[in-house]
Amino acid sequence: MAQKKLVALCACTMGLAHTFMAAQALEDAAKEMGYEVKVETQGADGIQNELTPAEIADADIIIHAVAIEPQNNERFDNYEIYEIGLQDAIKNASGIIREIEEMIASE
Amino acid sequence: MEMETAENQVWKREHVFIGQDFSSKEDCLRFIADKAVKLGLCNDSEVTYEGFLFRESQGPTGLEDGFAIPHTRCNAVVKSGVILVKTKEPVEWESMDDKPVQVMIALIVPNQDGNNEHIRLLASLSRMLIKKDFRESLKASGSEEEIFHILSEVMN
Repeated sequence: MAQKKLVALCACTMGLAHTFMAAQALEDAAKEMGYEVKVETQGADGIQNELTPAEIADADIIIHAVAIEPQNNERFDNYEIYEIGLQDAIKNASGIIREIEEMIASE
Repeated sequence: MEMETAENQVWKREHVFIGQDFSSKEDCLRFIADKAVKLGLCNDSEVTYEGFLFRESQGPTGLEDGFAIPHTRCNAVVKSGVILVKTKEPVEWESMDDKPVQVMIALIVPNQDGNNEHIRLLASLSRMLIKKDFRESLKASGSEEEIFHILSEVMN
């Protein structure tokens, strides 16, 4: 079976700290849970690790951990996005990914 | 790429302060704002303090395990820097686990910082704060010199 894929986008108001903490937390948790993971950050250093349309189309799970309207948001039109708080990502990334898995399984 | 000169560094030995006592979060932020001016990161202590308070009003900067990351991007900032304060006693501070805070890591960035290298150093520090081992090593240390080295490894 192909490896499950998770992509996420993180952006906080000032783009200095929470964006990157949430990104790291999601990366660590997703890897631990066996996902191939890529997390885009829209912080004070601009867009880093930008997700391509193909990566978004290919993902089993798409997460937005954002406190602002992200740039180039139209890339995500027509996909199911799981929106979570930055704090929740930082505090309990694996719990949240597990919840999302359960939601998908029960659909 | 341009070499980072000592003048330009976001993190220096004299940016660490251990053993202070504060009766409130506001006291602590005022201390950090004063130090930011003395260290040449900011040109106005009051504006820097207000900058921290503005960010605090947007949501708590306390993390878990007694850590907080107050930060500001305001007009008083002349150059980017990090200031770390480790207090004698924990200070009341809204945090993710509702516990008071003992290690404050302040991120200070000019309103218009074209220097992405600086932002990236701050980003790698934020990323490390997710790691429990990293937090434990900062909590365990009582030495300014040692804390300077722990953060230097992340921001170099």
